[in-house]
Amino acid sequence: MITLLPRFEYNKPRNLEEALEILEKVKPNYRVLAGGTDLLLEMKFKTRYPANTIVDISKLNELRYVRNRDSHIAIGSMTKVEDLKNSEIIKRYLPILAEIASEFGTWQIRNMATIGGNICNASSSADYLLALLILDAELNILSLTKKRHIKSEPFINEGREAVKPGELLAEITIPKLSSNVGTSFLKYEGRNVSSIPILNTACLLELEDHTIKDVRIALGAVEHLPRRLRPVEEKLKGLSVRDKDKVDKVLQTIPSLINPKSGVVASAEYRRAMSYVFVKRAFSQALERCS
Amino acid sequence: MERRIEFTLNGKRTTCVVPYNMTLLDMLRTKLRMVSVKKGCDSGDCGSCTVIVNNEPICSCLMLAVQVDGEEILTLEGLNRDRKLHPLQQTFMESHGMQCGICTPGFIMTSFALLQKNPKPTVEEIREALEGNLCRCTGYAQIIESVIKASKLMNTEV
Repeated sequence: MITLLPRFEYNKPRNLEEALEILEKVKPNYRVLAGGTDLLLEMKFKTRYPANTIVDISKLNELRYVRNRDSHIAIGSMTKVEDLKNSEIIKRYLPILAEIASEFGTWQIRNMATIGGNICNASSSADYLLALLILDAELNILSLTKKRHIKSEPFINEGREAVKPGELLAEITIPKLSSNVGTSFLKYEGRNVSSIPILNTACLLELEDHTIKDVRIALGAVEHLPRRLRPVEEKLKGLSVRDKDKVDKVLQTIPSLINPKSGVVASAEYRRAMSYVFVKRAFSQALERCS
Repeated sequence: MERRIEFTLNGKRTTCVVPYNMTLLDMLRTKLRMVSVKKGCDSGDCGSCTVIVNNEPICSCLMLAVQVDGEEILTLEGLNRDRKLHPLQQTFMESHGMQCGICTPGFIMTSFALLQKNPKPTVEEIREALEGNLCRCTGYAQIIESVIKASKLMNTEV
């Protein structure tokens, strides 16, 4: 039986410039096809499909790269998740992105899905949003007439509306981590592969001797968008990691600071309870990786 | 609402007129009779529609047919071009890496892609590569054994 998809017009720009021209022409009623792993599902299950034009940028290889630029790493938005898993530059300077990749979907999905698609689709459990949040990433967005840079946090707070009609996310730039920084990423799901997570969390920790100089914690899949747990971070800063009781007391406040949703994979109460457990594990793992 | 596309299918130049809103999976099965490509979940979870596009295994249910214009596609039908079974086909048979058979083409295509990249994979590497293919009959022990045997067979053939 043939799968019925909605009817649409199809455009396949040959380069970035042409892509931006087409977006300008067909806006606002279009969808961008990057890896297709979310878009095709939306079309099949008709969960969200207002568009009558598809702009297929899946073969825009000029946006598929990982570049080492002095103090930053630049990642093209059409970089496949599998590319991130295998990139030597990523493994060396931003290992958390490779760690996320190795827990992302399946081999087939990683060969299709792009980092830009994961970011712009802005699912509440999008793994790469957590990484952007703790890594102080910046997003470079292009349109035919202008170019803008935006920090990851305000970008993510806008959800799916962050990229405006006519715009395209072109590049993600991330500062390289210094050697005294540890990062970790944890995902809690019913099974290990290809499922909707109960929650995911990422943690970055920077120590000076044994004092917490900087800490960034992001929590996802729990509320409608992933976010930083800034009140917790502020209370942790300045504490000694040797004073485990004090650190734990702060982490124990997490369940009272979030407003989890109930869903098919977990209830709100369970997500609330697990938020403490998994942030604590992520924190410990980041700590182990600090030296 | 349709387009004439040209691509390489199992080594042969192929043209096909496809509606924009047709998946690669449906084009392969219905327009080109590549019926080894199975429709299981049709949502990227089961891997039974796995084909190889430009040397990478992908889910053909999550790609539009028009996207493969100019690309290179390999399905199970392309593995035994000289009418001789591919070592993977042979070892899946010998080691009973299948029961009902519907997941088998997908497993073989993913295993083929793995062995192209990594001719001597460990059990752990095989498990990781095959995590996107589901089998509901056999369990996975015989499947993994089949891939190990195929790997040995292919490494002794010169």
